[in-house]
Amino acid sequence: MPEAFLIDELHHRCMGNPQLVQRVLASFRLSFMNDLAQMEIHFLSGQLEKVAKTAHKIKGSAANAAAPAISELAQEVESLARQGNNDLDQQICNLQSEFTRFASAAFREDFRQSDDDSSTGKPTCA
Amino acid sequence: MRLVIVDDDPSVLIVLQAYLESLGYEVAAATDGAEAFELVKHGDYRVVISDWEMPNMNGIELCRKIRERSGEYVYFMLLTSREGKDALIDGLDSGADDFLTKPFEPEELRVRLRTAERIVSLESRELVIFSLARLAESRDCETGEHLERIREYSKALAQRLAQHGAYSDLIDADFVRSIYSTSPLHDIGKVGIPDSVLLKPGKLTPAEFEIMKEHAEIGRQTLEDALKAHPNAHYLREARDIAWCHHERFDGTGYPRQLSGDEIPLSARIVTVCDVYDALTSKRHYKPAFTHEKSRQIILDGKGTHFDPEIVDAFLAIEEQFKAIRKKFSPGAMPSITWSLNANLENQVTVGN
Repeated sequence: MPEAFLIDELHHRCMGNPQLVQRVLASFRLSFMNDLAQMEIHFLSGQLEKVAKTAHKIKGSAANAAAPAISELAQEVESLARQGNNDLDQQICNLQSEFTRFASAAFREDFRQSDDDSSTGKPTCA
Repeated sequence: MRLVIVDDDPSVLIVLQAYLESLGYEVAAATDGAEAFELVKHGDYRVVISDWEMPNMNGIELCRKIRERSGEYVYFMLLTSREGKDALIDGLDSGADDFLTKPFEPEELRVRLRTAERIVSLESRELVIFSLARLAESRDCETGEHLERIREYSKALAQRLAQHGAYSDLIDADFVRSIYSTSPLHDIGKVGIPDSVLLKPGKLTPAEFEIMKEHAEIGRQTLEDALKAHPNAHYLREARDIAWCHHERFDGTGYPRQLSGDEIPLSARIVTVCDVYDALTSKRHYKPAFTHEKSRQIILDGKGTHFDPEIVDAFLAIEEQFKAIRKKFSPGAMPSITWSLNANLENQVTVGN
């Protein structure tokens, strides 16, 4: 399984600037939450093309945030959705779980403090 | 150099903008293709780095729209999560110049941007246009820097008209860039005028003047042929219109077709004012260089007859700019060469009549 978070890679892309790293991570967290919620809505309404587009977006933003495991999972969801595969519950749930793994590595203190907060991406599915 | 970056993911924009600014680029960020297109249309951006999939207008559509424009070449890079040979071919086939996959690798992006800069700077169209115009102009020994002044006057007038008056909806940044590039070609048809007429030091006979007038039609033919070979080169259409119509008069008494009013292309109506102003303020063998004030009055007297009134108003509003351009591009200590210059002005286009 790919790494949840490649801190060195993100630092490199951010020219070693920790403030920039934090801004990217905060922005990614927000966009991921929003995109995942959108994806679930599209999935529940059977709009697989929109599921694929949203998964594609997550794939890119996760790659940018040095989250290869999320990016890879998102690619899998995109691919399945484009094939018309409607059996995506588990993959979407896995995305949630993978984000939790990423967040625990990326946000550290920040993550622990808000562990009870559902906005951290705490998994809600089996 | 100024860049546009466009991505619907803010986290990508944050890191990309910070990195590019650290390299010294001036960066404008957009979140979809439509917003990016507006930036390109109204600003001086030579490189676009675009995501592929975006709401409203995706990267491919954006690229196509940018390619449809006239004006300076914009180097277009796709930065996308799409991978594989098919995506690469589709992207480049749509007109993109380069293709990078997310996440970008800083050093790779830096090197590829260096290539983009090199290509943009090598873009020779403007240089070729200006060289052709200079070649045509060199035969009749026009006063130095006439072409520089014409394009600067034309640009200044177009910019003013884009902001004020009845033509503001017709003129955008592309129009301004295009008239700047193509206005120096206004007299390219003079290449087809015999030396005995073009270089005659005295006043032309009526028959000679008829020959001189042919330069408008020769200019049209020359540029029309180029346009047929390159029908998507919109700037050639504008260059043709200017060369063909810059001796038409607003009241329909000009040549070669006696067009009037808005039958005359707007770009040609603008260049007409600039060309006459430049002739008036330049020394000729048959007249001294008129002062700005005298030239201004002659232009004003021609409002509605020789010249489009809207353009005369714009000229009056920015006359200080005209004076500044005149000063900046004057021959200075160099004496003016006074061969038979602008025989058309001497013989017929006695402005103010």
